[in-house]
Amino acid sequence: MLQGKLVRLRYPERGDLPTFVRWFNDSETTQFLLRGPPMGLEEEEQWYADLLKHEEKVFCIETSEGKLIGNIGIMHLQWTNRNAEIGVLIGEKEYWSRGFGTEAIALLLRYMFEELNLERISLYCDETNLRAQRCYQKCGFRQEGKYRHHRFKGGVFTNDVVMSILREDWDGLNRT
Amino acid sequence: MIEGRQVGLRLMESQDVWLLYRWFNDRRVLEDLGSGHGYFCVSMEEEKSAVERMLQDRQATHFIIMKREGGQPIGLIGLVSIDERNASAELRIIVGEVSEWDNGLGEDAIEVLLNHAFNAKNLHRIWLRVAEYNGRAIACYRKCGFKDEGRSRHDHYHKGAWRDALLMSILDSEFRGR
Repeated sequence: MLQGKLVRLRYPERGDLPTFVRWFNDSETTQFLLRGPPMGLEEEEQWYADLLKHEEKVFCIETSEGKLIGNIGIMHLQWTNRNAEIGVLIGEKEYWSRGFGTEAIALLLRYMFEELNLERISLYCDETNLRAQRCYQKCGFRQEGKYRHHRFKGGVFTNDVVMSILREDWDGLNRT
Repeated sequence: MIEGRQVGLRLMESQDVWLLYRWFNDRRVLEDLGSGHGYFCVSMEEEKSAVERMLQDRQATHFIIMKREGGQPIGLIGLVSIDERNASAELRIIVGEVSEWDNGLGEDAIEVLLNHAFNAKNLHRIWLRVAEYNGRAIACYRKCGFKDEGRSRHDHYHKGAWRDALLMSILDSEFRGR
């Protein structure tokens, strides 16, 4: 468990899956994700079973009252190259734009730099999703390029921005 | 194949079992190995299943040491207990061809493996354990840059008494700084 002020991160349990399925069946919530509706519970259970075999981890984002509001994950972890990607979703819309995602990302970045000893953490994000890009910038990510026509959504190909944060950027942010 | 001055390392394969069978049945090779190889000798069936276990172990990589001149296989070297998160691994080596001892081939093989471990696999620490009475090996490890870091007391029982093992290690910064 990673404890912050607004949120904490914990491992997902089987009982969380129906909540995930509800989020992924909401087209507004998933508008900027690679995966949208429809999603089934059995499909999600298969994903959960596969998750236990990987070193790549997904965490639940919970408020300090214990309400499950989103999830955040480490993907494509490469130990030799000391890098990984992250992905984040706040599934409960009333928690959008209130700093919950920002704190969840900050908690995960601290874990990835200070416990996993990574060198680079990256993500990509729909170029029209400015709310998310501002959040990532606040966390220390910088835009470093674009993946052109990286996703197909609503009948068209759209671009993604690529953002990353290096260990030296993290150290700079935390030097006091 | 990754190459050093006198030897190259290639990945161990199932069909190398006959080499290991021969080396691990040579008393002169087993003499100084300590607890890891306490058996008197090994059957072909046992060695086959040992090789399968080594190949299936995802926290281990084993190489056959080949003489560059002539291509003769002379020994086995590997990293085991590879801990990727903490970037550490344990080194194990035998030079199974006794006629090739004392020619610096083991040292050359360790040099190649350390270079691979630190510069290709981005590991931070390589450690090993060696029987306290294996003076030839200890001298070789020190020459390669390993530092003494401790002693495993009464590590194993050998020739009628409890024997210690030394723990040694080298860090990436030390390897690059030599």
